[in-house]
Amino acid sequence: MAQFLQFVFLGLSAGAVYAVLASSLVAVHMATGVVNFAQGSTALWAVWTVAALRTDGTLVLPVGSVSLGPEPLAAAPSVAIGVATAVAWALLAHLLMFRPLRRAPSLAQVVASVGLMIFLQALVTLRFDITISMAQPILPASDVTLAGAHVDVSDLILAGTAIVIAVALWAYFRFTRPGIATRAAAEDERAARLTGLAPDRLAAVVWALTGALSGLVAVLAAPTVGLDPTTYTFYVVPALAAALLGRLVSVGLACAAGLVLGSFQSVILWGSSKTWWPGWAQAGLGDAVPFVVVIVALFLLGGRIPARGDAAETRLPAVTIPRPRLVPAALLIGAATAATLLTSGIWRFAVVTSAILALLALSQVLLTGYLGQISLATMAFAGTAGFALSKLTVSAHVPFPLSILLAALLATALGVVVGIPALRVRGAQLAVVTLAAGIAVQSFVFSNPALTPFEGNRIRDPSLFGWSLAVRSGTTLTTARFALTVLVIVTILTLAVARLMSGRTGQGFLAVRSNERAAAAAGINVAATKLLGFGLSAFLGGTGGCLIGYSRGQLSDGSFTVLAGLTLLAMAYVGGITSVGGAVVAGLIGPLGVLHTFLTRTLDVGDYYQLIAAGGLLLTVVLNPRGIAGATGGQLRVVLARYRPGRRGRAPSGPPPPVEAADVATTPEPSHAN
Amino acid sequence: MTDQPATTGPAATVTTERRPALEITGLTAGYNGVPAVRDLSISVAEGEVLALLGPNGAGKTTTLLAAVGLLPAMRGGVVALGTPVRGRRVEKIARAGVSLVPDNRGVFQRLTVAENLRLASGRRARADLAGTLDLFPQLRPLLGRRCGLLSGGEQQMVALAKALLPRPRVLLIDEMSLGLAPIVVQGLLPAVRSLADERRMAVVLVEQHLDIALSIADRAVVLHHGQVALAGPAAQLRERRDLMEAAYFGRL
Repeated sequence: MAQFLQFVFLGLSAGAVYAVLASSLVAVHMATGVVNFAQGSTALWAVWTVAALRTDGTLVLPVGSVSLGPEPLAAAPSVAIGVATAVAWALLAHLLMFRPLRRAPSLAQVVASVGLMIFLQALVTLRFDITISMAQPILPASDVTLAGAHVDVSDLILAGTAIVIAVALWAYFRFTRPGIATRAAAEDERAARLTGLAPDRLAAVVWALTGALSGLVAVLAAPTVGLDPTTYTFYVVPALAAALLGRLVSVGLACAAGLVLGSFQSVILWGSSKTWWPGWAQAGLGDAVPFVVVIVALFLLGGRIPARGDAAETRLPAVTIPRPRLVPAALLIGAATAATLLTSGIWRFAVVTSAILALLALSQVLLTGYLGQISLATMAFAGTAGFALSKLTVSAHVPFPLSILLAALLATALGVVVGIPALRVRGAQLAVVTLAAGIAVQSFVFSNPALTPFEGNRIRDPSLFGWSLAVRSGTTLTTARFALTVLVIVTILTLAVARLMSGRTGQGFLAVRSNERAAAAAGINVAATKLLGFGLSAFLGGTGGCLIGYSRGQLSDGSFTVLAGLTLLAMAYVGGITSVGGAVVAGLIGPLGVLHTFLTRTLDVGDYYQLIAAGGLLLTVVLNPRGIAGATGGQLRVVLARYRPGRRGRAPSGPPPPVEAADVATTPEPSHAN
Repeated sequence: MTDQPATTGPAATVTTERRPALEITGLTAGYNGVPAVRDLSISVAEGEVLALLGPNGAGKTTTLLAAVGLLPAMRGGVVALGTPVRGRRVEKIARAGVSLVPDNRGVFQRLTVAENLRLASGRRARADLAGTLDLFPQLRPLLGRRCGLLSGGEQQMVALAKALLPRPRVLLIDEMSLGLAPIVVQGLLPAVRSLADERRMAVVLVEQHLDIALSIADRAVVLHHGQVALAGPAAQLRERRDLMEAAYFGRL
């Protein structure tokens, strides 16, 4: 019992971080309506700033660094500076991203905050000396005995800090005039301004405040929780779970849920060391808990989570409806084939990877761009299929095309299961569900030694009618046969998707995306459409995962990380989340694809790839929501229309270029006089 | 066609001896490059109540939005309380003493009545709050209730109280009667009239109920297709229903 209690208290330090992050998430959501996935990343930067200051007195900036003296800096000034950096990041995020995006659809806001999360994550890895593995203690190291359990005072202080912070935030929103004004501005910005309130300034205060609080608790907890370049980034997932339990409006509930979650994970850790604990659950269960919490929160409290039934009032990124045309399609396929045959070694591997990534991005385009369901779990679908492929080919000896089909169908089933919550939740909350699902699958399936052997999952090379389609043959890194097989599969699926999206199914998807109630009123079965979308998307993702598996020969838990999935979403968004062309672009610029190989091999700046990807995403989301493919496509059409003579009138100037409704008309039309 | 604003009576551009609180000169404003108001000039003096009338789409709301800086003018401009509106932030203009009650009332549904009023009163003394509540005694027992739970009439009272609390010198009211029984409006508007007299407050009233509007206004302007179709003292226009109708249908 004493031991049990000890673990309950041990979990309080992580719990305190969850609690403060969750309180901050609730506060930011109350003030701005944004669900900030980067809440943990700003804290991560603060943690590493303090670590660097206390190691050698260097203040590391995003560019360059300043030495604050030859000696390591003392604890108090280090913490102050660390917290200040978190505030700076939070304010920058507000001013440069979330303020311009305040009327953008929640997809853009989610993508922006995910982009910031990857960006800071990448920047921390690049800028700091991540070989420092111990954060130096800040809080007193003594311990006390409570009910027979030895409890670190620091854990109690952290939990106390979290509670004090939550109470302070609650009081701010409840009793102070700026706090009430912030809630008012979040509800109706125009009315707030007419009342003489400045919404931007009020939001900035909350951003700065929550940045400081998150940074502070992370810095204080780092000596206990540990120093790691990714931990805090993904602490946002349990924090999001806690925030959802607080229905995104209750700071107190979010804080309590965070503390309990931390303790619960710690207790699971204790349980898993016992003999009576089942072997399959020995690892990763703790990471699966937030997912369960999220699902419970959304299903039990779903009706009371705000903004649930909102129609999309804001403009969504314009969709390019695919019209399969022979010439461009043939050109693209021809170019891809030529690229495959003319290259060799690492470059051919890059082309193949790009093709596979295009398929994965297509799965994202289908689900997020066309159907409007923000999914961060694409890599989980791909990974599930990949791992299934390993079992199917090695243990069950299922032959090649059938093996992909079965594995992808398994992913489809998982996709439908993950899609079920989407029947009740939407927007940013769905993104939370899928992110939690992705983390749960990654930790509980991919990294679970009971399911995944330590040496990785081998995959038998494919063959068809006695022909070997193996990716490697002797010293050839990537065989032409394998590359062409990939191209054929990707082409068939892409054409099928384009066909589907240009027809009734595609129209149904778009209707659901723009307004679920209106779609239902027009006779579209919204639930079936959503599940179809999730199933199709997971099938594409699963096929992509199988192809990745075949191209590697074996898979480990590092093959399908959540971070890779987020980078892929970033790339799909940069390419153009609403068009098939965007998926192709995303494939070219995706991780290990052609651009990545070019940056690594030719320019030797591969280390910066993730940073460039995230930076590109941030620019895209703020400046050009249609992505590269959308923007170039639009310009191309304008140019073509200008040089193509009018079909009917043969007017010398040609028909006016088709413009998006958004760009329409600075020409004043005379108002109709009757 | 109403290209030439038809005017009757002595009051095409009334120049009162009182100082103008709100001056709209040659205003052209609209949406997506399409003007809804064209070359409009209206002036409202301190302590004066102006009824801004006209059919749907005449440009009444557009005029009010431009007056508080929510909608940038394409041409011409608005001078409120001696300072041009152009280029200033909406919240600054509001704090300078121009209050708009928008047609969706601008009440914060998720806040309580007391919180709504507290935001509006700024850092002012509680005495003002008490004074305003004397105008709307029905609100006293509702102070702790969330506005979303109030009836339409009660919400409109909150909206009006909220607009009056900072002691504005220009009050713009957009369609107070929207979704309300006329009797409710009849109860609220006389309070506005007496405040205009007491506090020397300039009031612009956009209304669909002509009789109510004309009964408390000093002057009225009828817009049609974004231009002045008819203007004159309210008392005179009350007698000339034929002219009013003609102006509404653009037949002047």
